[in-house]
Amino acid sequence: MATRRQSAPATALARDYGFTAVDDYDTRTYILPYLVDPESRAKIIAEHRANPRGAAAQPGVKPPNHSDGLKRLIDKLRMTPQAGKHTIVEIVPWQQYAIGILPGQRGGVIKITKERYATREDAEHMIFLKRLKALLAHYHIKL
Amino acid sequence: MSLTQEMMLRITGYTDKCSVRPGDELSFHIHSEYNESYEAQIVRLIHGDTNPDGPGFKEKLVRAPVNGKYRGVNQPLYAGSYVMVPHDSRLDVQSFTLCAYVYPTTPVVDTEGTAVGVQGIITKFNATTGQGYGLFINEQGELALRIGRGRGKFDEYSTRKPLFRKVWYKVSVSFDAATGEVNIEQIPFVTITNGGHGMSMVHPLEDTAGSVRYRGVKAPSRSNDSPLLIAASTLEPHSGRQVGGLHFRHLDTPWEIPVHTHKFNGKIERPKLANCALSSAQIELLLASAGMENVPGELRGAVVGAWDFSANISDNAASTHIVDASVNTLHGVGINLPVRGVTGFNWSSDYMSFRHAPQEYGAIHFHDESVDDARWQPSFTFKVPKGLKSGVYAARLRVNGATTADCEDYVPFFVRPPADGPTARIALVMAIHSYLAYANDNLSVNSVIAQLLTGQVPLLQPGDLLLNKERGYGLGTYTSYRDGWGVNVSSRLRPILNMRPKYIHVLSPSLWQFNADLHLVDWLEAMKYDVDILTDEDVQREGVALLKQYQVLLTGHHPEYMSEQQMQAYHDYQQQGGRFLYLAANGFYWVCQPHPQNPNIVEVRKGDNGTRAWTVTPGEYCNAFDGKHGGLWRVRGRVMSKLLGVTFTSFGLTYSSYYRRAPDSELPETQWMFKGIGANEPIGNFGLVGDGAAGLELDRYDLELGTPHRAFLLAHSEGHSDMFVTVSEESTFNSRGYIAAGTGDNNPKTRADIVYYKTPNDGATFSVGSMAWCGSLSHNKYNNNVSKLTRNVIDGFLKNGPLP
Repeated sequence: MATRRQSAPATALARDYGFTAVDDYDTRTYILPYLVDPESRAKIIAEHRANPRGAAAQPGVKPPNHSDGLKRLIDKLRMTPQAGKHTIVEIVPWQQYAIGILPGQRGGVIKITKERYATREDAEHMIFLKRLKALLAHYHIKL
Repeated sequence: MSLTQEMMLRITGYTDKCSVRPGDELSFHIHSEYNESYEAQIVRLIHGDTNPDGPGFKEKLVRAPVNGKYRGVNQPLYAGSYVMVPHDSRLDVQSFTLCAYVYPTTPVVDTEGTAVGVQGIITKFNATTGQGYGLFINEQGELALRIGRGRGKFDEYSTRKPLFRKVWYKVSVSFDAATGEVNIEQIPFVTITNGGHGMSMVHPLEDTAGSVRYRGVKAPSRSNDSPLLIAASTLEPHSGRQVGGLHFRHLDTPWEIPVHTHKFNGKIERPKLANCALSSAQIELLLASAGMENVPGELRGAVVGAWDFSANISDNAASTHIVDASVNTLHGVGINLPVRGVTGFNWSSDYMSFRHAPQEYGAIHFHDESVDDARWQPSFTFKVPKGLKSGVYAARLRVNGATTADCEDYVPFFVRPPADGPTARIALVMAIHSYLAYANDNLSVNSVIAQLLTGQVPLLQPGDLLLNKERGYGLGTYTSYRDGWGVNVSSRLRPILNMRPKYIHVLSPSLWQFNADLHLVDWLEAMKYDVDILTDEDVQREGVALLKQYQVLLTGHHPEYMSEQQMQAYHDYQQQGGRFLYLAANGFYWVCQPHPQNPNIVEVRKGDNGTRAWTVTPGEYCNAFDGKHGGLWRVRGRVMSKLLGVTFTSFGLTYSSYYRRAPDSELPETQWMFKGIGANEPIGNFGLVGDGAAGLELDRYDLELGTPHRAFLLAHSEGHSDMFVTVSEESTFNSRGYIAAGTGDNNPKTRADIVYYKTPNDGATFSVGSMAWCGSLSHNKYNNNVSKLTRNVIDGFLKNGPLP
């Protein structure tokens, strides 16, 4: 039986260094400034809490677009890789939702945590906070 | 049992037929995850949206002898496409040569980085007993020969060099039983074009070229009853499942298929087997022929099988018959619909269709997740009673009678009117082809971008958990196979877990496709209209002759996938005076072709243009099922606005907006539709799909794209959020800012238009240009202006004589 391990070349290119580097630049340049200041951060969190999944437009009212800071942050957080990413699992329709963790692959097991929420919006906001915490930890900022 | 397993759906199934008439019989094929018994009841589905803000779930029990308790059986699904050549003693060779061109797409790992494991290329090998021989890719991604030693054991001889993804190789192995010598070789065969998007220079070549000689090798155990498989090997020669009829109708008698394993991802071309060890020069001669056409006389007798994948390409490449050009005619069949009509090792890019150059399309692409038919045993049958009202029905399955979401599934089917004629003046066509296209997308688990498109975290329901465990049960055309290639074939002969009542869809804040179409079914029932239910499959088969029996015809909210026959039927219906309500958006968009011998299976090829989940690989634009250009109807000169007055303009899979009336709505020709609606009244600022009638996907009029010159603009939406983006086919140059490729806040083309126009012979078309319209119909106990406008139009259309 063959036991050789055939590995790809260990180049920066092969591990997609270019994407990672520019992603890091963009995060530091365009997203972190909204988050470093606790007051600005609290404002963004409150804005998300008020409207975690968006809202319909109503006549005579400005359409409910998210602020620039929340938009940039949330788009970044939503691009979290699938493996280990939080998701919402329906436990009792319209009554109870759990937070689950994705395996990142088809056929893998979706882990259901013990966290329960009464609405999809509550679960959505909690996942936002978890992702935000992880992002800030990556940049050594305490939530 | 873990919590995940507790929450997972434990019962599901499918029917053998989609659309039935009273008197027809259909069978249900049910899988019970834990072999639990279940209760089955036939129900008529009316409203599938469980949202407490709406009318709630509505079903009506149908008294039927079939209702009752059944013993549940776990029925596995053997996914993964391959070619099977039935066992024949001529295939049990002692000395041999195996050769082919191969294009591996997951030589070691898949696109998610998961190890794929051993993959069979040409095998007559029982992986359980360790009998036989076969050419494989081993776990290290190297070409390898396996020779069985019996009792589950085998020896392996590899090239010791890794195969690269998306590179064509000439591969061969020869074994001489007399001398005990094995020669195994993989040589890259790279041209500028043949790899599609794979690299065109492999340097240094020795990173991947390999040629190794082994000595002292013993012959394989003499015989085994496994079939010869291309792109897999045999786990168990007898599965108890057979192929025959429908897309296997060329077989005189059904063929039993094996349980297969070692599934290969990638392309194979010109696979051949000889009964002696050939020299490199002889192998070269064999591979120079698609079949046997240039094989010299002295070599012909040695060739046991020469499977020519280009041999029976005709106007289409849909056949499952695989031709053996050798003197033995050991023909095979393609199981789980491997993709034919794809570019081969010699594709020059001079041709874009297999019709024009079948010789350059002699490859087959195999995927280890493909499914053409689950082939589950029937569990019970239902004979549709005479007099049963035309409608949307389902078998409701409940494990041990429990009503929790993990224990309950609905297997839908559609009852059309009896053969002797319609039972109503209105017909609603259920978009089965679109349900198939969206089948089992698994995007919640697999797609990073889904959360950006929808602006929310997906919600997983019990069916989604089962679907992920089962690797998508064959997936659908919004997904890619694990090698990165888009799923181009979708079958109805397997559970489609996102085509269910009560289902909340990943691409919507609430519903999408089948369950969303029940909003309209419910409203028609609440308004007490008599309506016949038809399906895409019926329109495909019977054309305008079917449609013209109805004075008024409606679609559901997203009839996106259409065959050529359907496009023609709707055109002819309008031409002949039919009155058509398109209560939808982004309809009549993608080319979608049913298999010529099996209407339960459709094909979609997503070309270079269009708002799409994936893009076909270079040169593979044409449907295998009819040989015609796949992709957008727009590129085939049938842009939807010619048929509907509106064309797809924007989408935002998030919350919705509302409409404002336009001046054309006050004209003598149109004002009758707005009776009871105020001139300045916003229309549809409510609803069960994103809280508004204008949402999800939006269509606008465009005189440059075929909107009829006397069309009226009755209303338009406004205020769509910046989650709404411009469709890619309209964005020739992306740019920041106003109009070009903008979003809801800066592109005035981001809107849904309600358009109305008359057609010849007192016909007419009314289009709302929004996928959220039907979700607003039930608001305020059906008393609202979306309901009123729809009702006014239908009532007006039902009046005989010319329209105002």
